[in-house]
Amino acid sequence: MNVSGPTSEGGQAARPGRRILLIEDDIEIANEICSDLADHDYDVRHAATGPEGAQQAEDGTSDLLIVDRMLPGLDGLAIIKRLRERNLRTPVLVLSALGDVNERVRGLKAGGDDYLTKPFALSELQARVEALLRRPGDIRETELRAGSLKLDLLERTVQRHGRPIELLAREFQLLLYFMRRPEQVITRGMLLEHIWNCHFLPQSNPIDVHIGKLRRKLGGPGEPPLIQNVRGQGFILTPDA
Amino acid sequence: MLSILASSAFRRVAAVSLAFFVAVVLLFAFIYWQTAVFETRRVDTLVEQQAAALAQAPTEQILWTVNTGIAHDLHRLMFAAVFDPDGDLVAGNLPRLPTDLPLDGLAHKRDAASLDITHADDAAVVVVGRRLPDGRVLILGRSIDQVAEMRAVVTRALTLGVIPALPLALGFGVLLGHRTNQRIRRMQDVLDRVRRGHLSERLPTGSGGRDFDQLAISVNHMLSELERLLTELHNVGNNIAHDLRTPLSRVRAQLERTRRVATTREELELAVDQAVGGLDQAAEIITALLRIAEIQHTQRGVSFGPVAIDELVREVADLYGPIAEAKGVSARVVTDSVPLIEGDRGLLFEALANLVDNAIKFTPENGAVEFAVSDSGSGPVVTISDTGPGIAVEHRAKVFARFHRLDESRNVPGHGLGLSLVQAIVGMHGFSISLSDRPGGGCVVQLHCRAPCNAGQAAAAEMPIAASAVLPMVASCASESLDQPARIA
Repeated sequence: MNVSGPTSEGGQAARPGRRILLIEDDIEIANEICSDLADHDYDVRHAATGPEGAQQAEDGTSDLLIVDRMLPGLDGLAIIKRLRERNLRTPVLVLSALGDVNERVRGLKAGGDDYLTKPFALSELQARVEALLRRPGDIRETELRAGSLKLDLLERTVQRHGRPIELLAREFQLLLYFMRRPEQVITRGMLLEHIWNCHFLPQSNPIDVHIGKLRRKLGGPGEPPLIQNVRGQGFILTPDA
Repeated sequence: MLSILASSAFRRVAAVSLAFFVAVVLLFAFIYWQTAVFETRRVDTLVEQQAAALAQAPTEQILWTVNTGIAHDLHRLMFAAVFDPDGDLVAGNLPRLPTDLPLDGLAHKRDAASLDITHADDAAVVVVGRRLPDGRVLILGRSIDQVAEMRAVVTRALTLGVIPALPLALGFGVLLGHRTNQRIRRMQDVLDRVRRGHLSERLPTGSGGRDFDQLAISVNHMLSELERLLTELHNVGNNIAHDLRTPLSRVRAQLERTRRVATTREELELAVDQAVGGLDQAAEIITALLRIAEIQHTQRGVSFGPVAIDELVREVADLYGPIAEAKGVSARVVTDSVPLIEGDRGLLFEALANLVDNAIKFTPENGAVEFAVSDSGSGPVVTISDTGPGIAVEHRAKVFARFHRLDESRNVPGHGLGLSLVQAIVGMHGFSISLSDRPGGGCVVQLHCRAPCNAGQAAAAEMPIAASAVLPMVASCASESLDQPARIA
């Protein structure tokens, strides 16, 4: 498990005070997750059983739920279903030790918004939590900007400082994903899932090569790189001035 | 002895013997009964006819016939008498007129004793009484002694012929039971030894009945398979232990050393990062093993849907293209239009990714890899060829075994589980995979998919054909370089 330090290198602090409810029966894992989230200024509550978790989840005061799949008393998926039946749209991140081929589908079908298989790196959890709390604002926007970078969705063009940049279809998709989540840590797993619809981590590291190519295309001579590596975590798009 | 009596062979023989005995007794009884009925009826008719014929004759002839008949009856089977109307004997060998005999000319069965016949020692006689025209009474009778004799013959035959057969059959049963018991005991001994861990033991075959041999052959097959699986499990267990020990001991040594010598925060952070990397490597091995097991136990079809394998190959090639490019390996994708297949998209992606990963990993700089999809008629075939060192024929079967790594690949990163994972996914789909040489050097891996055959899927399978009709260019110029930029800028 990758345990990141209290302050993530390169990652900006999350919006403080967001309330997260963790429903997890394994006390040690729960403690690790709670301290890590607290280090990132989240307000974390913890419930160790299904019924307790369901009760706390349904009071509607949480901004995000992290729910273990297997819980004593009430199954994690049942909690999510109950929540959705009561029209509570709180985003849910499902944790599971079950890597069963169909588990992810089952988890997402039940109303989960994202799914992580144990063992996971805490930095991966951190990135997913942040992504869920900062859902891309207006996806109808057709022109996105990040500092000197401009992306036009209708014309499918990219410019930096007004200079046109030629991208492959996949590179365009990759850049769009970053531009919708500026200043947010994006993990390799997230990119594999959302860009390639691929739910495992390949042995070789194709993502880094893709990012490297994209970074080279975006960066003119003397320009600072827009997409940076966050060691042990992933990548981040930081708009230049 | 008790065990023989309890053996199924003995019990079967005993049951058959008993059934045979009962059947024979019933048969004898039936033959006796039928013959007795026939004989009695014959005697009845004979006596009735004689009496009727004699009654027609003149009185003198009747008396003469009665007297001579008796005189000529050496076996003393016949009784004949004429009584006057007052019941006094005129001629014959009956002491008195039977009082209860109706004079109707029909045969009646009587005890010899009731007729006061003293000279015959048997029990039953058939008698006919008839009143003659002059008022006298004619009585004719005959002993039915032969029927009783016949019964004696039948009983004797039964006693001498069938009853000794019963112990003979039981003896045979004991012998058979004994032999069966011996065989079963031999089998039990072998199975006991197997249970104690001697997995190479096999049941004896060819020394008994076919049914036993077939059972023994089946059990032997099962034992062979069990032995193979256990050996594999043992090897896998050893390999897991070995492959886990390497990163773990490295992590341990690093942490120990760092604790002793590190003086700055940076040094500590570096050591911790390295330790985390080592633990990740160990976790990766465990995750891969669990995944293989999960895939092998996932019920086929649950997560299946229509998959465009040509599209999937292009996506995998797209994901890995830059890796090949960075390594100076040229990558080419050639796809024909092929029917949709039924499968788990995610798992097939993973299998293809592993194959493509391997192909690029083992291809040296300035080499080439090619990913092709074609239609074999029975289903799409994915061909992944590289210009790497190839796999020698004798190693081909082994490369799919867990943790198997060819000596040539010791210096290439990986945990030796990728192809096992591929094998598990391919097996789950009912597809097959083959390895061959590439002309001019290198390896060719072919994944043979099966086209779906039921009606619902057939409709879906028509889609690509329709698509190729509308866009003939797609099929004819699907060969493209990965580096060619799409016109987006």
